[in-house]
Amino acid sequence: MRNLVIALCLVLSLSTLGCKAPPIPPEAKKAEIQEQSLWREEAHVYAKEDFDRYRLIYWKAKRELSKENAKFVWFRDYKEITSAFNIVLTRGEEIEEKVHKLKEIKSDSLAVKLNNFKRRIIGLQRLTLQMNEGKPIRLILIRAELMFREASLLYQRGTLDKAEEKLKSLSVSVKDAEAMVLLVLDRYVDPVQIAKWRKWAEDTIFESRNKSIAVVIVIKIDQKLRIYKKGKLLSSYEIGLGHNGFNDKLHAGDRATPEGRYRIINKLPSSRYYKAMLIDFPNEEDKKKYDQDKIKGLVPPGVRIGGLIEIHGGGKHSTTDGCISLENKDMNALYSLVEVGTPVTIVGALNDLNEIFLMNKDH
Amino acid sequence: MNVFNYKATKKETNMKNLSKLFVLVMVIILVFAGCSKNPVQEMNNAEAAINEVVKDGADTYAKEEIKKLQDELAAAKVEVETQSKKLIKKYGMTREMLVKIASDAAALKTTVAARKEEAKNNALSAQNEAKIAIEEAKALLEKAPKGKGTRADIEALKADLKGLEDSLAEVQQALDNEDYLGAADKARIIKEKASAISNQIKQAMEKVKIK
Repeated sequence: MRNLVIALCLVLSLSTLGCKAPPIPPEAKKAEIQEQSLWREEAHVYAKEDFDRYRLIYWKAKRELSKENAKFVWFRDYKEITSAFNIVLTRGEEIEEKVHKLKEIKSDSLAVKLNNFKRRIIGLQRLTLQMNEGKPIRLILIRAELMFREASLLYQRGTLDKAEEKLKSLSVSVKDAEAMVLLVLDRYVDPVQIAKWRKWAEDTIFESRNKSIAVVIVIKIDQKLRIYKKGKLLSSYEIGLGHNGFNDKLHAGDRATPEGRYRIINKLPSSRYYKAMLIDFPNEEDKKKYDQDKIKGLVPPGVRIGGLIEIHGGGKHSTTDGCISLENKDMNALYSLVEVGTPVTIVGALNDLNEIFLMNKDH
Repeated sequence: MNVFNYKATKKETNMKNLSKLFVLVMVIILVFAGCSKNPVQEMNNAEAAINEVVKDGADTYAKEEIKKLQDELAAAKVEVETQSKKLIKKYGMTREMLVKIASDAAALKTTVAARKEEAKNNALSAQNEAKIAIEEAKALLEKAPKGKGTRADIEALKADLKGLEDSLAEVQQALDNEDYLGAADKARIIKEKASAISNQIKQAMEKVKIK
């Protein structure tokens, strides 16, 4: 009995010495690294279901590996486990590719959205500077700008989901601001009004061609002053308008820039704002409109129609009481091209697809 | 001694040996049985420690570290499951592993608290800087020339500064909600905007001075 036990132990020891444990398949470590990498790439966010399924097969393979490791050295066989980990690795590669693609699509889409919001915010900021009741809109806009910057920061950090979430709040603020702007500027999306303005401009250009004279057309929405000679565009200058420049002038002191067909009635080589040219506001049409507005109750009691609307120097960034201001060098050029009697037509917009229209469309 | 007596004595000896072997096997089984107790308590402790540190904000302040611990816990669960299906169960290693996870999670709690405190201080400092930047811009705006060409700009900038001041409430809200990273971001953005407004005012003032 004793001899039998000794012999058995001897055989066992010799067998163990002669038999090395098979190495753990390297695929197991690779899969572990891959799982970590997928998690860092936010596969649990971008491909949740796929990643959950992946983790199921990954942990199943790990469980099998653990079972196999628990076996006596002689009986360990990693063949099936290696193929299980290979399946995990293949699936992981597919998910990695999918996540990259999804992230790329999301990143591109967010970049477009961010640019769109940037354009809208800048446009609104510019418009609010020209408008009455700008303050409440500016308050919304500054919040929108801060949100936009936060979203941009999150986007730059690659936290696309958080950036997208921020853009949702931003969208609400921008839409609110746009709605408020549109309340004031609804005339700029009115096709009848635009057709009327276009007709004024066409008639003015026709007069320029017909009489071979210089004419001036001011387009408020573009903040541009165009000069035509013999019906052909000669130059275009950037301008500043009245504080409430985008509104049509109703009465004295409303700081709005009038819309209509005027003529230069005086040229001032030296004025408070460099050189100046006075136009014949109010003309007969304006007076008629003023009387109608008075009846409608749009003019406060005792307030007169106003006047002294000029095209003057002082800079395109100036905000006037209703006049049109240009850079001094542009004023020099314009001053030399026009004379007393030169037609000046002031319109809101010439194009259906103007900035306000596009904003309305986005809205 | 006759043949019969010899056989009887040998049988007795074999029986004695078998009894000894039986006792030995029983002792071994009892020893293994002592080690084969499922580490339920250790598992619960490790899970509780991880949950606690997650509650403290580990997902935000120690993302990688908490993921490592969660993975180790999952691996320990697999090991427990494997051992539970075996005849001779060995939980020693797993038990050690779980104790280490619980202790690492407890240590991570300190790390998270330290990082959170650092983030809080950064956010408070950013909030203060934002307030100062707004006050500076407001003071500058008071000095800004109020001419025909600047009136509307000043009104717009005043509205912008009011908007920035209002947004400081959001920073405070984020701080109250212990969202220190978000609060710091918001405060820094407000400060940047307030500084941009200050520069805008300075440039306008410079322009007027030159003229």
